[in-house]
Amino acid sequence: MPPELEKLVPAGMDARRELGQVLCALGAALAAAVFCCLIVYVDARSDMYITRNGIRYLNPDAEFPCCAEMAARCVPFFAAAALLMLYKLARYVAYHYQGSRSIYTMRRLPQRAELLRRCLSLPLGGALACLLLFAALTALFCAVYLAVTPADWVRPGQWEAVSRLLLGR
Amino acid sequence: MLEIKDVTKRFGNKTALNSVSLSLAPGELVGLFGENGAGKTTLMKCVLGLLSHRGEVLLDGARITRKNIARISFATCEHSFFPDLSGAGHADFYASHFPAFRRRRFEVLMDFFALPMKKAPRTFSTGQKNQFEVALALSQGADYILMDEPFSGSDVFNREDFYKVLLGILDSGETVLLSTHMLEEVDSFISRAVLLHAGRIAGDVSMSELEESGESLMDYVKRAWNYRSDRIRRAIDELNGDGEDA
Repeated sequence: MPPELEKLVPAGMDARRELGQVLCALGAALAAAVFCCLIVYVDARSDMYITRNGIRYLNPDAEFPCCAEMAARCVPFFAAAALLMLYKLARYVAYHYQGSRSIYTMRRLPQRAELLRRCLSLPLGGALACLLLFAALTALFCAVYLAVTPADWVRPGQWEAVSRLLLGR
Repeated sequence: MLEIKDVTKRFGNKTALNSVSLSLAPGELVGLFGENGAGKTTLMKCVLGLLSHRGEVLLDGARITRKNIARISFATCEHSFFPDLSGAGHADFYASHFPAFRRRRFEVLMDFFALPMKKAPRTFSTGQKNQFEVALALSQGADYILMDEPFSGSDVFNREDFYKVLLGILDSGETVLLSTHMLEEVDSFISRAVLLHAGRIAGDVSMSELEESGESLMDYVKRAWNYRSDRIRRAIDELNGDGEDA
C-alpha cells in the first residue's frame, strides 16, 4: 500500500478498504453493464425476426435499434456506482463530526486543501472513473456493434447518437 | 503576543461575545472562567477562525492565517482527534502538518498517561480521551495552547495528573489559555484569571495582584459577577413561604 494513498481518505480510515470498495463498485457496474449490453443486443437481434411454423423470417417492418440506444441501457449501473461515490463523500464529511470533532483539527491545519483532498479525492476519482468507464464501454460496444451487425440494419448517424449520449445532449 | 481586539460574535439575535478584547503575553498561564454560555468556547473558536466574527485576532501583530495557525493549538472537551487513528498515527499526522510537532513530548505524555500508542482513541475511556486530546495540544509545538474545559467529565485524579504535567512540561515561552469551572483546582498554578460574563470581559486580574490584596480567586469571581450569596436562602424562604400559603 503506497503511503500516499492514506492521505486520500480521512485520517484513521482504512485506505485499502475504501479503495477496494470503490474498485468493487466500479467492477460490479462494469460487469453488469457488459452483461446488459450483451442481453440487449441479443434481444434486439432476435426481435428482428419472426417465427412462423418453426421457421425464422426477417421481419421487414422491424428496425434495429441504434447502438447509442442500447448503450444507454447501462447508464443505471454506472449511476448506481456514482451514487455510492456520493454516499462515500457524505460519509467522509460526517466522519469528521462523529466520535469527536476532528473537523476542528482539519480546519486549523496550515494546509488549506487537506480537508478537501481527504474528502473528495476518492469519491471524485470514483465518479470520474464511472464516467470514463461508461464512455469506454459505449465506444467499445458501438465498435463491436458496427462490426457484427449486418450493414443494412445499421441506421446512419450512429456516432452522432453516441456523442449525444456521452455529452448528455 | 496574542491579541483579541473588539471581537463580537452573534448567533442570530443572541450576542455570544460583545466587544471582547484581551491580550495574552508569552509564557502566561491564564484561566478563563465564566458561567455556562458566558462565551468561553465561542471566544476560543473565534481565535482559531472556526467561527466567523467581527473584530480582530492578531498573533504578534499579524492576522491569523494558514501561515501562522500552527502556532496555536486547541484541546476541547468535544475532542478534536481522529477517533479511528492510533496514537502513533496521530503523531505521524501531526508531524506532517505541524512543522514544530514535538514527538518526544508526545511520547512522554502518552507514557505518563499510560495511553496505548497502537490503539485508536475511539476505544479509550472518557478520561483517556481527555488526556489524549491534551497530549496532542501540548505536543503540537504551538506557542499558544487553548484548552476548553479539557477535563470535563474526568475524575479528580485525572485532573490532578494534568495539572502536574502542565506545570512540569511547559517551556517559558508557551502560553496557555485554560477554560474551566474548577476555580479552586487551578488557582495555585495559573498566573492570571480572566472572567467572562454574558459575552463580556467581567474581570481580568493577575494572581499576584490577588495575592497582594488577600482576596481569594473565588471571592474575586463572585464579586466580579455580582454574585448574591443570599440568593439560595431567599429562594428557599420564598419556596417555604409559598408552601405555607398553599
